[in-house]
Amino acid sequence: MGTLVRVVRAVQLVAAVATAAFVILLFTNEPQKPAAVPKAGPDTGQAIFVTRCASCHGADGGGGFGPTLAGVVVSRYPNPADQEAVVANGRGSMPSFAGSLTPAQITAVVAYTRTNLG
Amino acid sequence: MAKGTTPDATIERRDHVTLLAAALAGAAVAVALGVYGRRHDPAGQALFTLGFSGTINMKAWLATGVLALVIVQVVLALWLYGKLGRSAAPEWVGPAHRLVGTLAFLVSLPVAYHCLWSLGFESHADHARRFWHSLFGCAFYGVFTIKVLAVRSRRMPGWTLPVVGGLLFSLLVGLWLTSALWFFDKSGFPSF
Repeated sequence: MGTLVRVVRAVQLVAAVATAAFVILLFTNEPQKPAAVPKAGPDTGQAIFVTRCASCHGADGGGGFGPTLAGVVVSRYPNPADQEAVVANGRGSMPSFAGSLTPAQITAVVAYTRTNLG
Repeated sequence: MAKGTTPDATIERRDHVTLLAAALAGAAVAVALGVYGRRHDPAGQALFTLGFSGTINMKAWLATGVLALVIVQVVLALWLYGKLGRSAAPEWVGPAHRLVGTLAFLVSLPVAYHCLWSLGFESHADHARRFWHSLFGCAFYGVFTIKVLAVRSRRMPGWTLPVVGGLLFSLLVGLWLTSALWFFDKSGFPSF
């Protein structure tokens, strides 16, 4: 019983410290600046990925705000058309890109993720 | 004591004033979180993902963990209040209830952080799910503040803790339904 009470107090102390860190980080944590756009043409898969996808999926596709693409995207979507549908229509918290990317651009960025990241 | 006022009435009035003060403190916390989420420019980034494939995946699973812990806490509370049988709860149930509740709060912090810092507050009612999720989230920590103050104070009406605890549980269920369940429904389960 005494041990349990001590554990409770220790966890409450950790919670108090975590709450302080929570508040401090809310006001001090500066977002990272987005990666620079490469010199390749704007319609290349790499350029589209860097400007439209990397902020969530990570510059190397390693994940971040969105899920990891590198190493898993091909196995998750064996058919590229399924992956293109996700980019076009959105899924879960991922927005739809059908209104901001042409079908050719969606095909290009999907191909980039599959050949360079997947 | 005012002339003609019984000691019981004085205590009752004092208890209600204490409850009102706690409610104001809770409201201040909820409003502060909402104002931060509204004014802060959403970072759209992750501070960490704890091994999950993305922030949303992490948030959904941690929120599910919080819900599981809080369900355990509710069961322990029912035991404490003698609602799970005739025998009185063992001595360890009280500390265990506090431990599980504190752990649930701890696990909720990374979720709340990424909600506020990465996504912000959805103030447009047209986006109903995000709007209600934002409201529930701010209210959750406001009511949590009231509950912590109620636990610490002996000067509140006896119904305060069960009512505030029930409200907290309801808000958490609302939060989970408008986030984790939605995510698992859209992205598939388990979506680590």
